[in-house]
Amino acid sequence: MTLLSVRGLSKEFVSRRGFLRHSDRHLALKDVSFDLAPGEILGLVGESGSGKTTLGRCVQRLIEPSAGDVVFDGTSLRALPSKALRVLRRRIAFVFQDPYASLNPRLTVGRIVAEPIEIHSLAASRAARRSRIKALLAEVGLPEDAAHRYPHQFSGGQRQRISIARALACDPDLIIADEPVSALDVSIQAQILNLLADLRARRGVTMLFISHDLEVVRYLCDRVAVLYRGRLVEIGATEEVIRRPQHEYTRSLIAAVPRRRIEHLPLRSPPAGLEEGE
Amino acid sequence: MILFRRFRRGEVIFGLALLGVLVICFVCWPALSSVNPYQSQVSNRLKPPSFIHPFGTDDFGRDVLVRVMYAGRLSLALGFMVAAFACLAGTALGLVAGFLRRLDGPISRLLDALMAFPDILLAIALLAAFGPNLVNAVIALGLVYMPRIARVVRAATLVQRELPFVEAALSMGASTGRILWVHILPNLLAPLFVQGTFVLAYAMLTEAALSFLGAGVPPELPTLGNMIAAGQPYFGRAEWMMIFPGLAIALTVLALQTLGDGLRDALDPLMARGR
Amino acid sequence: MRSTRSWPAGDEMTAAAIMEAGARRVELNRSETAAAPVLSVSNLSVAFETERGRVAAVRDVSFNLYAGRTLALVGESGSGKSVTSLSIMRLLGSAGVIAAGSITLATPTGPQDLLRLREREMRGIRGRSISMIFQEPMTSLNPVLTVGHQIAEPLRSHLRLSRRQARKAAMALLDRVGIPGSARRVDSYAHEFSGGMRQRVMIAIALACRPLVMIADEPTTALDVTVQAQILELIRELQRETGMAVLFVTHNVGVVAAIADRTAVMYAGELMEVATTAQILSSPAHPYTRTLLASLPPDIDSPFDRERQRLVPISGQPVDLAALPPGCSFSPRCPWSLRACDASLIPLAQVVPGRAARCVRIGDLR
Repeated sequence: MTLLSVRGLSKEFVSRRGFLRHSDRHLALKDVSFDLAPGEILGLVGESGSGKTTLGRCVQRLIEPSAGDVVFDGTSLRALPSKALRVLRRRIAFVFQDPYASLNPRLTVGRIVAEPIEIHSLAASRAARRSRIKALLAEVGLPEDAAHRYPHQFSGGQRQRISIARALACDPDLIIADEPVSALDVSIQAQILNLLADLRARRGVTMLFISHDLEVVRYLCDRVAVLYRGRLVEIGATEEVIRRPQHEYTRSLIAAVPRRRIEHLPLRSPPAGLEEGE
Repeated sequence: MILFRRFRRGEVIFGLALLGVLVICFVCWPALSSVNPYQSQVSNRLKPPSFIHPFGTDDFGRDVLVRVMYAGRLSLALGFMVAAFACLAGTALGLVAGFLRRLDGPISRLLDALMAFPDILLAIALLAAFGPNLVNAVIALGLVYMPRIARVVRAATLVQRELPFVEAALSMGASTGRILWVHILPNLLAPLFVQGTFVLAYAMLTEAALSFLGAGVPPELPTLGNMIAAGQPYFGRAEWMMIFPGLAIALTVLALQTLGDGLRDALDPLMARGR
Repeated sequence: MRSTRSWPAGDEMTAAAIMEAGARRVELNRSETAAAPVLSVSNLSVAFETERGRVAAVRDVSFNLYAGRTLALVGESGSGKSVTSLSIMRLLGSAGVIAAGSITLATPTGPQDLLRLREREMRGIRGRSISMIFQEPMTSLNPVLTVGHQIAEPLRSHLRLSRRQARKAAMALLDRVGIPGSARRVDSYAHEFSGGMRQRVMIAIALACRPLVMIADEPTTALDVTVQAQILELIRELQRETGMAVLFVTHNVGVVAAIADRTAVMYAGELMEVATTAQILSSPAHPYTRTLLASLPPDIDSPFDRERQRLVPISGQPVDLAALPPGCSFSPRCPWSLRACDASLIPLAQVVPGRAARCVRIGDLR
């Protein structure tokens, strides 16, 4: 049973150059297809220009695909009128990369987290909404009084938690996370990754995890899909793809990841004693 | 808002203070004074400023001071209504033009066309077409200054629209109306307010010019403009008839412009670094 | 391994070559290494004036750079690593104040304290004896000048080359940094290059006058990982050729492993640990280094069991430089902290010769 089915998705960006000259066509996605089963975390790995960000946006029809379709829980997104699409967005939540700009600086954290609830009128009363906000904040590890404060009073990692709390507000079936930890300090990344893993374990929410960082994807994702220049070049179970990559690009990607184990270090350091201790 | 440190600039304080004094005069004086601004007293004609009549009397023997206060109240109220109308209409158009790409083209061209006309000429043309009364004056002047507001709002909307939190709201299923109202509009209020003070000032000036030309509000009502017009034939003999209304306009516009400048600089993020 | 032509596009290095370069073992000719440091930073302290008062961004930092060697300065945001590198170049801007310390450069004419130089003399140093490359090549390169012009600039102003000589040298430099078609490309503009190529151009500019020291401030952070591998390899090669000392500022531990001989770990403006890269990675001494390494996703070659293994994040929040704790700055987040850690400032002490750490518990934590 698949929750999400992407079929033959293509996206072409056209930019007009000048009045009479021809337009620039750029094919960001070429015929991408994959399925997502409920409860699994699929990693979408690619470098710049791979189209992974565009793909994430197309899944929610934030960007209109040029061709192909996205089928969510049996419903084709392509044919959906805008009102029904908005209702469907209750079930697909987004977590964005930039923790600083993806939260409206003029709203309190409480209002930010409650926005999906307000939009879809999910709370019966103000009290119900308040208690829901409280529960969400606790779930992502934020203090209760955070609801009355503003985003700028929080650190990057905490703001990302706010984004995640907002994403969870409507109990979505699918979370699309677009590079959620790339802008965070290394030591904080681990906190957020663990949070996402816990959320999957606790709530069984399906996740599409978009990243350029293969090591992070390997830690979190059950399966991984590799994108290169708009094409899906490889997809499979994470450990399989990492151990036995089939495609040339996947191999070069894995080879390029810097290693940290001692055996792989180029032996360049002269023996100690040549330099004074600092 | 006023309590923010960066608003404690010289210009803001000065503008606000002067404006405050003027508004209090214009509003309270007519209410508290027992002098009748309309009643003519021919024996008292063209008296120079004295203790009883600090601003002198006009050609009908009416006290100029009281008339200036009444006129100031009317002019200020007019200016305020014009600014309010221009802001409402301009914000609506600016939001639509900035947010809905398809309507941007036609709306911007319309605004450009309106802005191509000199303010006073456009106002005169509209008043001539629809008849010179108070309501039409407000509408005409409002239309004249609406494009200025719309442009500022449109520019700010274009910027806000690209911000990630707007995309986030879209991804949650927010409707266009909600996004405009909750996410974009609050961030527009600051530059809107600044432009509003300028529009108020321009509106008062233009109204004065219109009244001076006799093309503005009905002449029975005293406005600063038609007071100056009335004083024109008496220039050699009773200058105070023109000076004091003129001074009233100048001070009001000075206060508004200074306040607007101060607010604009206070809100400019580059200058805010000097905090 | 089959050689491929199509990935990564635009550059010549194949997947096979990347892997081979990573595994290449290079022994430095011992006679080439100098015992005396090329650049010596001593007790550097830098502060910033903010609305909350004076904030110390760098506190009493000392390290040496040696010819032909790379020192990595590792830290997260707020660690002070970028401020340190900018201070060496005296590019801090009006907000930063160098409160104390000395930075001694061993020039051919004798040692110079860079902090005591006048701005005019410092300009003679920048781009000539010490060069710097930055994270965002797009904003570091002038968009309206050709790259040839920009590479030639230090050659003309420092070495007084004629326009023609400088142009020839620029083409040679473009070749050396691996940009094909240098005769044509020397007249191209920055926007005509990809991110990795632009960074190569930056390196060419930095290298033009064969500096003694190159400072690299997160040069690969904004690049794709395949391009990053090539740039790191390029820097390594150039270092072998020219014998320049490299100070590599980064937050990426993997990059450190690929490029650095020695590593200095910074936190809250202080040096927490200094050792060879091998020592840092295999047996980190300082709690911050240890918890930092433990919080990283497992190395890609290591086996990994998702059911069992879990990342161990560092608890707490990054330090607030305006409100530093009285004792060790890492203590609030340290799993092994004692009351003694909060009592007073901890000095940087030698662990074994060639290795130092700022922690009182090194002995019992082993």
